[in-house]
Amino acid sequence: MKVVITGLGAYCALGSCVKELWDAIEEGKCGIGPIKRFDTALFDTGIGGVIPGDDNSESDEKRLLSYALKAANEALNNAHISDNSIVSLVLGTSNGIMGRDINEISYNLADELNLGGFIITVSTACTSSSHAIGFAADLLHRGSARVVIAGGADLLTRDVFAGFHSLGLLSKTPCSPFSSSPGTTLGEGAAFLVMESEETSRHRGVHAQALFMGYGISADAFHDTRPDPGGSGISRAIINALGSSGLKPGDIDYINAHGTGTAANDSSEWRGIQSALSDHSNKLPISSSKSYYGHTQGAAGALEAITTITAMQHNVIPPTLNYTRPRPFSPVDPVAGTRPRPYNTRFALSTNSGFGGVNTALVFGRKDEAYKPLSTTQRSLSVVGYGLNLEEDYINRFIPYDDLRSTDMSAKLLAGVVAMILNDAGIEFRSDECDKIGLFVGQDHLSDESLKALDKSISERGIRHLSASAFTRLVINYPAGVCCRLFGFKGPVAAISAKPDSGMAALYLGADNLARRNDTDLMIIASVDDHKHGKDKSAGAVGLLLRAGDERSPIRLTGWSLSRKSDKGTEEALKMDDLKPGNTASGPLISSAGSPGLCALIDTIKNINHTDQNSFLIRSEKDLNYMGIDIIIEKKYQYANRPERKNRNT
Amino acid sequence: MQTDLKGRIEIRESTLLNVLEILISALNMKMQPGDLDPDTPLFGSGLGLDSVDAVVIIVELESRFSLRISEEEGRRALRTVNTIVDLILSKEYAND
Repeated sequence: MKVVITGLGAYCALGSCVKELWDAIEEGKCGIGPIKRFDTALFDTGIGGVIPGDDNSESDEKRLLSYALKAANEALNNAHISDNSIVSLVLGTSNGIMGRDINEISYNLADELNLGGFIITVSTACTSSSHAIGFAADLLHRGSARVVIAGGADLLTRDVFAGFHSLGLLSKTPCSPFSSSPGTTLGEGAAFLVMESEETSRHRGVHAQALFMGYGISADAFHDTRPDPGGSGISRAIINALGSSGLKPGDIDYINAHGTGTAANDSSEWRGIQSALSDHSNKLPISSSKSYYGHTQGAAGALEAITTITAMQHNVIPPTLNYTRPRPFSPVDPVAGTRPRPYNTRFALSTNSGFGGVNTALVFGRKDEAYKPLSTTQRSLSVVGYGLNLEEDYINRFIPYDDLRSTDMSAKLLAGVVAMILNDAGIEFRSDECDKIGLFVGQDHLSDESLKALDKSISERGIRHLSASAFTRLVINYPAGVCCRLFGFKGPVAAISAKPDSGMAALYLGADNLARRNDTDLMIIASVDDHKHGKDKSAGAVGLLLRAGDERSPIRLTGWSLSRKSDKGTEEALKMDDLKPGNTASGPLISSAGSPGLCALIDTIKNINHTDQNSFLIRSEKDLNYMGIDIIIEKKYQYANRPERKNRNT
Repeated sequence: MQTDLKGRIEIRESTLLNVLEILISALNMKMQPGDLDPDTPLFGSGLGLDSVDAVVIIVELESRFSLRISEEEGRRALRTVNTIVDLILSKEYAND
């Protein structure tokens, strides 16, 4: 299936629509200036890519929603969408509304737009909206959604500014990626792309603006904030993106780099590009658009995708502004200058990296580019291990405490359940197999513990001296990043939030990813929640391990689907394996651990031998205002003599 | 002369204990001051601290000892606990 992009919408410091943004780039304007919304006198620098607006009393919630609405409305109008009931939303945000459920902004936006499709939120720091674009394509490939609006939104708040300041990452002058003076400049905004299959667009009578070719995700498994200096993470993301698009390194004509401007990011990114594209990288124009509108955090991936696509449409390449002299280990051709360079780009890569050690690469093609989409074969999936962890300190039995000294409860709960799952599966892997192990986590909010630590440090020492270590923990994908580092997982990683059950949404996306792509062999799906809710819900983490193409395993995951009407989704999930409806698993649940659905699934697997039934449907639906998620597991044969697992728990 | 030296040793020892306690509490280390050798490298193969820990240590030292540590001073001092103590003593008793 060809996925096409039919609508674009952007709102940022450089312009309040795509046309304004592009005009500014053509004129060589920079959107970065003094920040007026909050007091920056205490900091060493006071600039940012802040959207002008006088109303300082507006709440963060309203401001963020207004950004998202402006960009989303532009994208929907641009795509000539007349009926929002067929539109699904995949939204990426790093902070959302700080301290609240991360998916709030998505539901607020969907309500305003009366979207009738599925609503999924992805939060992976600065790669959030790139993830969203990739997952939107997955929803289209699966046939779950007809039209998806994908992108992201984030605000530049005082706390985020202070956090980056405390880490010494902010530049005193507008950032100049790959150029001699290191440092980044933060920005804010929203950007959305309307994506659909070529068939749907033809049916609707709208023209494609660009092709979405494919994407790749990887985990660094290196450090919670610092990128792997060798760039192996970004390199794997690029290789996976090329693999999923069916392109070779030589096909890429231009890279819109993450290029934050920091010393750590820029050199590691260039090394990663070099190792993925080898000699081709030396001839390649590579620019960073952050020099125009700053680092727009969770919106960066989508905003930079729009910049890339618009440039492609105008037959030019956007330059890197403010460039003076080359920095060691920086691209050979950073497109220095103030005006776009004429260039006929057929295929472009857009790369991003984020806190928690996560990397993405997206591939876009010209709308008229003739290519044959890769035919994908679906691999069978089996459940090879599972676990439920309710103890914060469980992980200490596996890993010496020193490694976890500055982490929080969410990360410990998740690490505990991952250790439990691997132990249950009896899996030991070589380091070269780690590249193919992924981790998708359902999670709705930040750890309370880290939020409180940040607030405490601000009230005790003032905003300038806030706790840098607490700040680095305040991204939703932090626990997932800690697990990748501890266990060495270097495959795709994501943190997902969706009603009614984020763990089940992670399972849906993770299963689909694993079945259709061959860059991953093993995938851990988990959910974590550190809030204690009352007697029927408790803090904990729950998860399972999926393996692709393992024909011997007794328990298969054979169907997964999303629905807005209860019967339809179940039907679709059943169709995947020609099954008859089984029973919906229910029963006494000992915990929710953030995901009643995953707990029910594990409960079903535990009792699978005590029943003659062979197929089981696990359904998460509470309120079809949101969505229903159906998962089907099947018992291939009775496994009375399950081999004893080697117990590493000593 | 003798008492001067004795005084200096006392000051150094109390500052050392102070710094050890600050490190242990700021970095959430589950150890006692006596467990930490003041000559162990803080980064790399030693205690394995990272750049975020470095920021945390600087901020903590600045607020507990009421002094300002420049980037350059920080880079030079953050090698071992003893080099941190050297920096603090040189700042606190700069006018002696």
